[in-house]
Amino acid sequence: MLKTLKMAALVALTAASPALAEWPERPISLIIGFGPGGQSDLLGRALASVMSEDLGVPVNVVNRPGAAGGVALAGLRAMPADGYSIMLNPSQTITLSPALLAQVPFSIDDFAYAGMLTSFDIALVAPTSAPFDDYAGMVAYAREHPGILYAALSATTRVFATEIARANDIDIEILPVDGGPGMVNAILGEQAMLAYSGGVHHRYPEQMKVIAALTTERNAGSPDVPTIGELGLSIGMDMQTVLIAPAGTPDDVIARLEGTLAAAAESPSFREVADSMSAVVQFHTAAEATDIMHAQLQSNLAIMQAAGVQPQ
Amino acid sequence: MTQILAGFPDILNLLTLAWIVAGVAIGYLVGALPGLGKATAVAIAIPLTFALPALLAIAFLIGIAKGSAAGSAVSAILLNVPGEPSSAPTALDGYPLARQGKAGKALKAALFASVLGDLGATLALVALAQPIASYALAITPVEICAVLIFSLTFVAGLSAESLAKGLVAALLGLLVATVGLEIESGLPRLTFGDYRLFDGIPLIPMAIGMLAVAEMILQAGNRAALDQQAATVAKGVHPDDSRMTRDDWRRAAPAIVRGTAIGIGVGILPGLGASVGSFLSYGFARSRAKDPGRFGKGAIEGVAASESADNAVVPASLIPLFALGIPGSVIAAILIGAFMLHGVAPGPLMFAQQPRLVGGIYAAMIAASLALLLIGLLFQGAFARVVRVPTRHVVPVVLFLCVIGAWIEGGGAYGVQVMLVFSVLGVLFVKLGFSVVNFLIGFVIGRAFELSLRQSIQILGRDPANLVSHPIALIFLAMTAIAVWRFTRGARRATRQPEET
Repeated sequence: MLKTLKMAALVALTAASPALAEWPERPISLIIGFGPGGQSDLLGRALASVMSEDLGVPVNVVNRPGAAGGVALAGLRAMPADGYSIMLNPSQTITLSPALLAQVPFSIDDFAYAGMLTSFDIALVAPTSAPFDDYAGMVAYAREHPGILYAALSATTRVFATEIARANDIDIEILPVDGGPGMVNAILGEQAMLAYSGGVHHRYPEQMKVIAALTTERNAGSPDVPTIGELGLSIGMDMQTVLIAPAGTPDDVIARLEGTLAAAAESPSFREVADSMSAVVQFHTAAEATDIMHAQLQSNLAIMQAAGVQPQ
Repeated sequence: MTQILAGFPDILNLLTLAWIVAGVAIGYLVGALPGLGKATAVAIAIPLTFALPALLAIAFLIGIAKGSAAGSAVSAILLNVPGEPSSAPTALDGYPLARQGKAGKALKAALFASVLGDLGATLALVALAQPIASYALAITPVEICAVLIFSLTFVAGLSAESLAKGLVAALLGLLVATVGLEIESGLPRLTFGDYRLFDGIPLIPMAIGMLAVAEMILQAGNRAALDQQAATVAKGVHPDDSRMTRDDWRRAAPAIVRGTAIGIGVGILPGLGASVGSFLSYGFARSRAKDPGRFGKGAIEGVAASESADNAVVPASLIPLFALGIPGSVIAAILIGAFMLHGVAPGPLMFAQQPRLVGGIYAAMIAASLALLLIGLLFQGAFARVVRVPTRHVVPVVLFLCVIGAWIEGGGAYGVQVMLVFSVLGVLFVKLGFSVVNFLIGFVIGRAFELSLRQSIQILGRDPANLVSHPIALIFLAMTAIAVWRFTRGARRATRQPEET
């Protein structure tokens, strides 16, 4: 099967690149599914510079924003599986979108995964001034003050609040906010008492405190705070940045890409960029990444189904 | 003030000044090209600064932001093609001035207004960042929502020819702003199953299509007349037509002062952005004018009002960033990334932990304002000649730049498609007498308005009586009521004397 695919890829690409075996022999496009300037873009650009040093060809960053990387993934799916078009993206665009959207123009099997590079410290946070310090305190406070506001960035992030409210029979109201900066505003301005954070809270250690980790393992940045699973609610959802290629990309190309990811994870210049954004560098091999992606998809689908979220 | 004085020695060396001037010059050129905006210019330049020390990098990036905010006036005035949406009001009066042979005057007015607005807001940042910051936190979505409702009243003021058509254009803008995933529940609206529409219609490709491409289509159709006009204009250029006379300053000065104040206010409030600032300032200048009929036909104060506010927003949006760590604009959000890359966490601690760096940044920002004046004057002479270039040469070049801009800002071919669709709409709008600017105001304000309205409903606990604890919001709502009352009275008077409209 793999052989046929390889043959097909070879035939399809003869015109463009006659010697596929010598990958890479021309510049590589690293697609970022977000606009320039954000965390995904800066991480991608730092990775691109390590990659181009490691592989000896230019690695060009191409920004294709839209639908949290979904637009770029839909495009990547249709690109030739020759290793010259690859993408760095948060895993949840693939592992969570099917639970929320009825029409997703890509699926987990459309891609090959060359490894994972960083993980996100997703957490339930509160302003430092909040009159509670932990999950139990928050639940007790919310019971006495029904309708406390939780800043949610999207339909997914909203689920955490509705599930916590349902499990504890308390009333948490949703304050919709526009992305990470909107969340920071709502917490610093004390308009919301709770918020979902994808890791940005590490930048505001004086103004925000972590109430619970919303991942399956404890956050690297706050190892003393229990996960939501430890607190009795199995709704933790993990997110990593994963290097993605179209399905059918030759194994030796995936292996080389995996090698450059490992190199990036060790590279001081990449670590410096990652540290500055409080991104936790955590390398996983291609095989591990593929397993994690599938497990994450199943787990997320189960959580969303249990929460009664219907794909729209 | 002592902070700045301490900062100047750090920037008064050839290397730092060279980076500041380079940033301003790059920004001014990028801004002057139709289609590329300041946010993109700054974001693309961030990787260039990886190897630079923090002060140099930040000074360079802020220089780009300031330069491109001012540069976007150039194409607005010369070609009727705003470099970015926030300069759309500049074109309303700047382009008529250029067609009257007063391109030099309009460019200078725009530049001086930009520099003064920029400098004023920078000084406000220096003097007020810390004291103002605590008030910024008192501004909740409830106040933002009230300010946005108030801004919508200026739509009426900009609908000189027909109130009905003006409102239709603005409402269409609001409608188009609803395309995409709904902000609270994530429900797709008006996406017709097209995944690319989930994030809504991208503003920049749409604005390029409606403002620039549509204008080029119209100019191409009117080529002979435009070229003849340009030839006549080139013959009889009076020296006063390329400089700001005492009379011009008398008209422009109040507009600049008000525009700077509006720009500072809009910059401090999170989530409004430069477009709201320049639209508000232009609308305000028009409503305050003794003879609003001059607006749209080459009123120098229209150019000054729009550009001073456009530029004042950039430094002002750094006030909440520096004082609280809150990004007040897209530029500020992008700059956070750059600050973090260079080991600086923007926020109150920055003043305590790195006072020397803060002083250096302040000094660099003031130096950038002055660099802007020099760069602007230097480049304008060359730019002003564009007016004399025959239309058949201008149109293809501008269209080429538009496609590049839409491609970069809209994420590839999709951006170009959006641009083309909206260029057709833009031509129809102009031919049928609907205001493109009103449409853009509706679009830009629409998204922010929906978000802040839904947030307000939650913050007020779904009880309008809780508005009592938001006096600032009440003041703006009262001002809205007064504006609507005054305007409907004015409209009634206008119908009685139709010959004057």
